[in-house]
Amino acid sequence: MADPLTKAASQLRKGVLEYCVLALLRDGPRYGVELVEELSAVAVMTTSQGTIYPLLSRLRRDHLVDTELRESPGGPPRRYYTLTPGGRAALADFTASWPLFRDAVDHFLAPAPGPSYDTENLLEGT
Amino acid sequence: MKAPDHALVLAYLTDVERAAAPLDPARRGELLADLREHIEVSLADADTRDEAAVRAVLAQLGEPAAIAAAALAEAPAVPPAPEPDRFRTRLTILVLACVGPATLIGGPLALVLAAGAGLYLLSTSPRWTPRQKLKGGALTLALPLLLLLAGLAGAGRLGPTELLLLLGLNILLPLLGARLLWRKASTTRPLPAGV
Repeated sequence: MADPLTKAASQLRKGVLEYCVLALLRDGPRYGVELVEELSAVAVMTTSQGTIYPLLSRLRRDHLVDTELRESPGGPPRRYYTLTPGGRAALADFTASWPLFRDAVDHFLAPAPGPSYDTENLLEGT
Repeated sequence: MKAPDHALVLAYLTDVERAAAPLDPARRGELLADLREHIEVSLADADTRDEAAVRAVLAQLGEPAAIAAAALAEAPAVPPAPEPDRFRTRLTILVLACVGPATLIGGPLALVLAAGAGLYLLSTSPRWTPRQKLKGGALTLALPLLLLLAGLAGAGRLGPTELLLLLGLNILLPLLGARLLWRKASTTRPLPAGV
């Protein structure tokens, strides 16, 4: 499962990964390692944890997330990521759009009998 | 944010740094800091620093080349940034250096024109940082402008020695300022090609 993703998978990932990050932050701040581990626990989302940091850095630059360094008892300080109002809006937008895309793609991919079959069957039936 | 000074970690980060060489230095620094912090926090979470743990953390982070590629994909805007025009840079320095002498030859009008042109070129140039612009601009323009003010206020009270000194400085300081800008322009490159 650690193979490099296929082209289709990596293109899909490129489109959705940042929204998965935003979704992980929906219920509160998380630190980098936590985020990265949750994402990479799902094989299709990433093969290499390190590649998520450039994405986090862009989300920060685009003001979709904020970061804050917090001291941690008995350990190194951790950078916590929080959703900004802009990030929350982007997530809401994606959440609304995603089912439409999912259904549309399923619609085209489904091996359901197409209209041409139907007409053929109908013609044969008559 | 001290990096775990494990040799493996240092070697890994050096590999990432090398692979990310085309990246804007600030971005590269940020990436390295993020990775360093990730390693540090992961090892703290795992509560161990033995070699196996370090290897596991690095393996999960992935290939330095893949990380650098991801970072470059997120920041494609940097390489196409235009190399600041060398001719323009030289012109800027030349105009600023000439402000002093121009004043002596052409009087206040030449001063105002040259200073204005120099300031415009300097302030719109991508070649220098704001700080360098401030220094260079101040060095080149301060004395000519002072001279202009003195002239406007009536410099009759100045003795010949002071006047001569001022005029000398009027040429020297702009030249120094120009030299400063020249040096900064040739030592700092907007696109570090191997830093």
